[in-house]
Amino acid sequence: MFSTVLETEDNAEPDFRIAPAYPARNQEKPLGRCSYNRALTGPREVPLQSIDIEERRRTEALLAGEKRLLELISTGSPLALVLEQLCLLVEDTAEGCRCSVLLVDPRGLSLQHGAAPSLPAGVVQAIDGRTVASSWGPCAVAVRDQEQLIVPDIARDARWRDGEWARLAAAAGLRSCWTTPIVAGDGRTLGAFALYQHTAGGPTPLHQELIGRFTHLASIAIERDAHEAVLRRSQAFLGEAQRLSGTGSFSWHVATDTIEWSEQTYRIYGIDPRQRVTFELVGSRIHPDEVEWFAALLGDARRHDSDLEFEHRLLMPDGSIRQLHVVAHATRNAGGDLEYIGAVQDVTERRRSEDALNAVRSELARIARMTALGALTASIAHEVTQPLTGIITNANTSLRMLTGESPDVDGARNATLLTIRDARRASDVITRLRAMFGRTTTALAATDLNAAVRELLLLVSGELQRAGVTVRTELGDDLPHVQGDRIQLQQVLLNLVMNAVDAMHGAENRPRQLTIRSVRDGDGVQVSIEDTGTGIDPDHLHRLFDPFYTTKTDGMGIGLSVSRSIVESHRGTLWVAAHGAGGATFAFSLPARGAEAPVVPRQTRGAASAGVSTARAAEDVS
Amino acid sequence: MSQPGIVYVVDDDVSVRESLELLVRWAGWQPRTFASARPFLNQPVERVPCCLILDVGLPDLNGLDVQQRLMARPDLPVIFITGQADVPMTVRAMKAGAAEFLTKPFDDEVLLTAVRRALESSDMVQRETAELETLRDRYASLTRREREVMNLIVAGLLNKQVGVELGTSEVTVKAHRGRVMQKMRAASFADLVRISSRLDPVSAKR
Repeated sequence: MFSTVLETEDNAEPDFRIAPAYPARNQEKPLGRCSYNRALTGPREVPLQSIDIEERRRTEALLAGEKRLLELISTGSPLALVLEQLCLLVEDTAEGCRCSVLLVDPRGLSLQHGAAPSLPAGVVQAIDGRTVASSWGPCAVAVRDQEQLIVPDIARDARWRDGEWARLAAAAGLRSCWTTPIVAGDGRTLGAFALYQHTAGGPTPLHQELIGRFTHLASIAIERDAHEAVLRRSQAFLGEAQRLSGTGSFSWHVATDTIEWSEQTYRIYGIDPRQRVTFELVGSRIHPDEVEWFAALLGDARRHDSDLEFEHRLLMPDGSIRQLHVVAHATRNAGGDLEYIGAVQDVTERRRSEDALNAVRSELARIARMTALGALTASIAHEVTQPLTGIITNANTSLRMLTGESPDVDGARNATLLTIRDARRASDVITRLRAMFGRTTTALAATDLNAAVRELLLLVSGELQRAGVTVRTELGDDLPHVQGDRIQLQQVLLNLVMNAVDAMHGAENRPRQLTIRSVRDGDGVQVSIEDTGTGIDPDHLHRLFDPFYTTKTDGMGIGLSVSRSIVESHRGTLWVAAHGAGGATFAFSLPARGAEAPVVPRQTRGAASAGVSTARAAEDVS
Repeated sequence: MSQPGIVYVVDDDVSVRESLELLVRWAGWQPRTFASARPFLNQPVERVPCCLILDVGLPDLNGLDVQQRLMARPDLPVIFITGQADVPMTVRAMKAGAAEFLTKPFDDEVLLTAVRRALESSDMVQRETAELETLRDRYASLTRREREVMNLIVAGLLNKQVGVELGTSEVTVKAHRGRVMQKMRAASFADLVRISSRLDPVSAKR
């Protein structure tokens, strides 16, 4: 391009304007001066100072453009905007070129324009939605074959000239098309980068360099966008999961007291997500009864990096109370700073339904006890009548001894002593009854199951005698105490014993023998109740523990189901150990550390104390 | 009653047993207490007015079963005491001849009265039994001919008719008759007829 100028004079230093391969737009003023000496250099070796200036300007503009693009990408600008800016930058840099970026959908099937700011809408619309496999236009082919495709002259290219694409291109005045696949770091084809010109021809090396740089930039932008889409999707999933499960997450950087909450945590605490979280803000929600305890908990957490698990209550501005379950894991970041990462769950509803369930369960247990009581009424009346008979007779005898002509004081004293003894007996019966049937709350204590068995047998001895049942006990003497509710466990025993008695009711021609055994079972205790009754019909076995299922004409069908629920609330199991024609054996086993929290029924418990103990327990473990 | 009556108490409940023991002793009788039926049933029979206070619900035998086994002891009236009485049980006991059926806790005066009556009844039965045994002994001391004469004269036959019946003389019949009256210690002929009917209540009605 310089040759005609240069060949006119031997020595010259003319100013001239260069029409560079990549001109900046509206570049009118001279860019520099060219000097040469033919004698010194010859026509083919022209040192052109101005080339340096031009190239530097061009490079600088390009770098600035690229930097702008990278900024857009890194600030998470929408992909469409980034790609449009990319196209415009390319078109600015390479004069006469029209640029477009086509995207392939994630499955690699169809094409869609990401940006084509200077292409006619007709061309864009004609390509959008085409499948890669259709090979409609050079871009589809480039994507399909995963290699650059240069069409220097569309109108003369045998592959395209008769096609629809060529007609559209011609209508838009496009003569040449160079399209290059955009490839991701892992080799997947993300799309195509296309340059069109209104003149025929192929890309120069400078064009190729631009193509290389911008396909790379485009791949970064597209991949980043895809990653962000995945991230946004996963965040949306997480957010939705947190919302659905009522679980929020948080982090607490101890040294700086920086607290971060997820959206759901804000929602749980009823705080505007735009607010910065401080302990003051958190403290304003803590239930007044638990403020001190909470502060102590935080103090502990600051000093020892232990995992935390506790429950506490919030008092919301509307006066409602929320029950939260918090779990936090202590971590050390790269700098060695203590940081807690955790989850907080709103368990208000769960606690409420648990409480309701427990209330129902305890009511059912009470009904079961009352039913058992009903069955025992006659026996119990008898139990009380016996000492009462003694009391009345003794008192009368004593009176007679004192009112005769020669009062027998010694005899009267003796009769009075007997009266007192019998009154104590009656009182003991009442006490046992009250313990068994009067109390509705749960009391957990280390329970001696053997003692519980013996006490229960005292209570039912009248009934057993009435039913003609003899009892044999084989109680192990090295049994650990079981953590549990003595009355509830006695209720289980009562239900099983009464069932056994009922089962032996029809057994006329064999001994009616009830055997109660207790043995050590691992670190717990196993108790079995064996009868010599009619056994259990195999057809009934699988439904035996179902609520309201009964084989008795006057049964309610709650004894066994309540018994199993009680045993399970003590982390034990209750099962049928034998059910043959010779009788049935029911057995239950309880671990030594049975119920750790009152399960049936739950009292409205002080969440604070429960929380503290849990947190302490967690510390002890760590 | 020469000796104080014996009151047997069979009840498995210690309060009932011991309170009755005191009451019975205070009333001047001899209490004998048992916690179950079998040891009581194995007791030797004593010829003293006695009665039984029996609990219906016993660990080994049912009180009504015990009553059945005592059918051969009309001199041992049974007073039932029970903590849980039902009508069929009461009816069964009374039909089987129970002296009384009391529900615990009972009025001690009622019980004392029942015991007193039972002991009187027992005394009477024992006396009658003793008398009858004496009469039987006397009857057993008669010769075969004397028994034949006695049976015929108490049936209302004259001496002459008896002689015809036995193929002997009237004089001989008279002699037998005198010995019968003497051996049977009958004060008069009417007395002999009464003794005879006690010895054989069935033929007496004929």
